[in-house]
Amino acid sequence: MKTDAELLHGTVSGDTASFAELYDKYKSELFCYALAILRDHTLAEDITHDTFLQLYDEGHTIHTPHALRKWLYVVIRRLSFNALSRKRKIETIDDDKPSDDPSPFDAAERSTSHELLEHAIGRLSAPHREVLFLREYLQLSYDEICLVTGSTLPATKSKLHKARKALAAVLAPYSREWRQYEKM
Amino acid sequence: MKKCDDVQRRLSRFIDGEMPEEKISDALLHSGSCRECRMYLSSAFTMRNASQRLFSAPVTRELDDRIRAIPDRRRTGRIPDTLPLWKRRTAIPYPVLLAASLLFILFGALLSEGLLRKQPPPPMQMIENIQPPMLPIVEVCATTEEHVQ
Repeated sequence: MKTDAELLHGTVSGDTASFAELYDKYKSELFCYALAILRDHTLAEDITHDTFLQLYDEGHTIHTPHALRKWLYVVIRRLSFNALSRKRKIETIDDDKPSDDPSPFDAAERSTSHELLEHAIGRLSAPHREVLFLREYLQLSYDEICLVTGSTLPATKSKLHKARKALAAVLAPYSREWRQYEKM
Repeated sequence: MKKCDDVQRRLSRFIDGEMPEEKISDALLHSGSCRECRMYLSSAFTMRNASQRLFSAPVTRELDDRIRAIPDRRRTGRIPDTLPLWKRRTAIPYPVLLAASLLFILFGALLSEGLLRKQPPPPMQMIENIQPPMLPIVEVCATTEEHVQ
């Protein structure tokens, strides 16, 4: 199995197979990362496409091939938050306010407790969703999260704590249903 | 409450394996009787267990085809180059650029110092030691004879 450095070298040299292999390796986590921030499938697809386009165009500027994963995360993160700003969402990069999801969670329409958690995730701000995604889904360490987001270690720990606190606050009104979900 | 916030911060580190259980026993005891802290702990662990289902999404076939076609589309010009020409043609690593810039600045400084430096004036002592040239004796005598006559 080729390393990232070999695949990157191949991509830069114009080898289509190397580019395809890099794409297969990272497509899922990058798409999910963009989706976690944007909560919009179409936009997340566009951002993922732009990320790989940037890799193809600017791969020759990457001087640390072993940090290719980090480079991809940083690029897709920047593109995602830029797209979010352009969409004029309420949450900003430094704003901890939850998103104003206009659709209230109707207990009568809820069919699964999974939807309860999905709704709660959707109510969080983009930075909070991001940090939970990086920690829980990608299982990055605190230091790796710092490298991707450009934050300090204390700021990352604080953001993770605030994200969890916001999640608990969103779920609190549904505590009766939540207790039933916990028993599952 | 400040106490609950402090407890939750410690619980957050415990959830991530950054704090051993024996150091957090008081916080766990508190969360047993505090609804807010219990909710915090419960929702965080449930999020962890459900994260793979919550955040994962399949990549569509359309996106696959679109991205795999990038090299061909670039070659045939169907994707316009968005990079400026200088960035496309320049592939010099930044350390080389930095070293070249420093050398250029140093060379420029040395060159300008050499061109602008004025010749220092001769010291006053050297001027005082310079003797006027002595006139030849023959000429002096000729001048004296003319005056006598």
